[in-house]
Amino acid sequence: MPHDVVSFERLAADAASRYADNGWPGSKDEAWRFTNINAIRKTTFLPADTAITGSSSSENNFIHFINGIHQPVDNISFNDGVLCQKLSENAALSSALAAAIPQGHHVADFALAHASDGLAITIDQVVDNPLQLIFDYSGDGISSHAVVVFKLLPGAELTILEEHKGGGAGLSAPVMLFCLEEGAKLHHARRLIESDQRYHLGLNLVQQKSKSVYSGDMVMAGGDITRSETQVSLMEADAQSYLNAVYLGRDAQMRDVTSRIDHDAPDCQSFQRIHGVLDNQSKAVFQGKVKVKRYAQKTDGNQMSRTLILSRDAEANTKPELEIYADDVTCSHGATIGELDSDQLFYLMSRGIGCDEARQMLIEAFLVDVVDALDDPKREWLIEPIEHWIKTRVS
Amino acid sequence: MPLLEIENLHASIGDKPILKDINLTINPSEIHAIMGPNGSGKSTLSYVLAGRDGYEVTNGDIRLDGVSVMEMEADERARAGLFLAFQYPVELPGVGGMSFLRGAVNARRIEAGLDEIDHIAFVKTVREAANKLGIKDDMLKRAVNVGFSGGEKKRYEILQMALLEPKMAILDETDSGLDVDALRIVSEGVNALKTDDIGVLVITHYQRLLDYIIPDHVHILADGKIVKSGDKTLALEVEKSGYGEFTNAA
Repeated sequence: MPHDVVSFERLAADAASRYADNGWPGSKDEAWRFTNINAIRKTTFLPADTAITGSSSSENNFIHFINGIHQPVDNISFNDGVLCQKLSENAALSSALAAAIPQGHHVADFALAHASDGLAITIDQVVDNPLQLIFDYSGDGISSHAVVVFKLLPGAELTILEEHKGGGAGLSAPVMLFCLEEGAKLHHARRLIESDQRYHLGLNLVQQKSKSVYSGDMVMAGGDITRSETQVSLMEADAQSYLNAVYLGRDAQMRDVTSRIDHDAPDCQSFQRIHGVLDNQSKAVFQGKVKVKRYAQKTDGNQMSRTLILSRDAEANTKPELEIYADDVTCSHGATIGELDSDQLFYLMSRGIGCDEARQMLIEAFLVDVVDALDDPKREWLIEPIEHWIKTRVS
Repeated sequence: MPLLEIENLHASIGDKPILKDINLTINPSEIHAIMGPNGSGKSTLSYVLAGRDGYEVTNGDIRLDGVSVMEMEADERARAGLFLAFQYPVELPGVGGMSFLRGAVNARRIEAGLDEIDHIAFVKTVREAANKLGIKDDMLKRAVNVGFSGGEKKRYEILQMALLEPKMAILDETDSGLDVDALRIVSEGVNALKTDDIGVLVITHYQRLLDYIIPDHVHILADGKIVKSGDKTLALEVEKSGYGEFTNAA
């Protein structure tokens, strides 16, 4: 689909004017009903200093961002098959992003209004070495808004390891677009492990052409208010999308996993598995919308959300929404919210395993289940923060 | 010294008394069987001995090796040498079999002041013990009890017992759901563990397990009380005439 040509500057200016009009979402906004962002709304954030950029690494395929500002593109070394430019220098991809941004999306508008530039990364073959996107945050009252657009050309394959870490009472609002051409495959593993005082509102947009496969695996373990939103458009037949997520909440933290999957073409499949653990007074919401258009016959859409509650004060909300206009589809959704199983706990303890350790084993099993089928290094890389969280928090 | 002493044991679930004055002494190397009809309190007794939450002991004492276990949690009792083979072994999806077995054995070893077991040596030990019980390697790699048949679950219980080397083993309805072949293998497994000093308490509804694991003493449990004790011939008597006379007596 050809887009109007929209430069990055124009994109940012349009977003700025929308943000000026609309601001942050309120509690009456349906998409934010369970996610209280008053703390963010009340804070005036200053955009990060663009002079402080990520440092270059001796590793190939390693992009470092400091408060959302990437290191100069010339300083990054890439494997064959990876082409990286400033987004302001790639009108095709800035135009694609302009067309992909959902209308009236507060976070996208905020991020684009404040972003100084973005990255446009084109993959034109099978790239074996994972591409690492490492986001480091620091400083109070600073907002970070990385914008990255990926285009995987037909048949291209890539693994991305994306990590958000660091401290300071700041806000990260990364916006990413992934355009998968015919037969392209993207493995997208993410660890959100920012420190406890941070806010994170991320948006991932995925557009899939025929026979492409997107596999998203996320571990959300850090931040005070952390929301990850993923919107997938299955635009052509036989595309597959997998969204797996693990979230971990404690104290008064907020966890929000939001997804929207548009089945716009026949014979596509989408699978979502979300497992969360909530302790203390933490709250979480999983809201997943699956929309199947009239001509998207033979759609297979599955969604399963399970939450383990470790404290009587924790709160889990699930909001599945299925909107189906085709008549020959298989769509399912399920949601469970419960405590640790007392039979399982007793079984472990009856073998001499202490109560704390038994609880840790059961929680780990519940969470690791989501990412267990992955190959290393992704599997290990995603399990590490889960184990760390359990060891430091569950007792 | 007696291995297990149950003295004036009364236990309730909520307000409902289930066990009403149980007295039983098991010495080292003795096998005792408790037989009883459904609802007599057999499973409650095994859970109360193992220290499961949800049962209130209203009176009495349980001593292992002369030490009261009443204040001990289930895991402490296990580390002190008590083992319960479950009637319905619990599936633990995502908990790998080998790490589960190693965790259990190490918990016992650390309590005994020993080092954690060597990883490679342990795998070998487990394989050998499993082999004797007809447990395939593939089963050891799976999550605990997940996808196991009823018979496989029972064998896996006996494997755990073999590895944990308890002082006192309680077998709760280990024969239920077993065909004759599995019954024989499981019983051989139990008999192989019968060292000089282990005590065994077999809890069962039917006599047939006692053809394979020969008890020294048989007790009939009815309505939360031991109403009759005897030698192995008592089990045969029950097999012939049923529990009618005992339930009426109780």
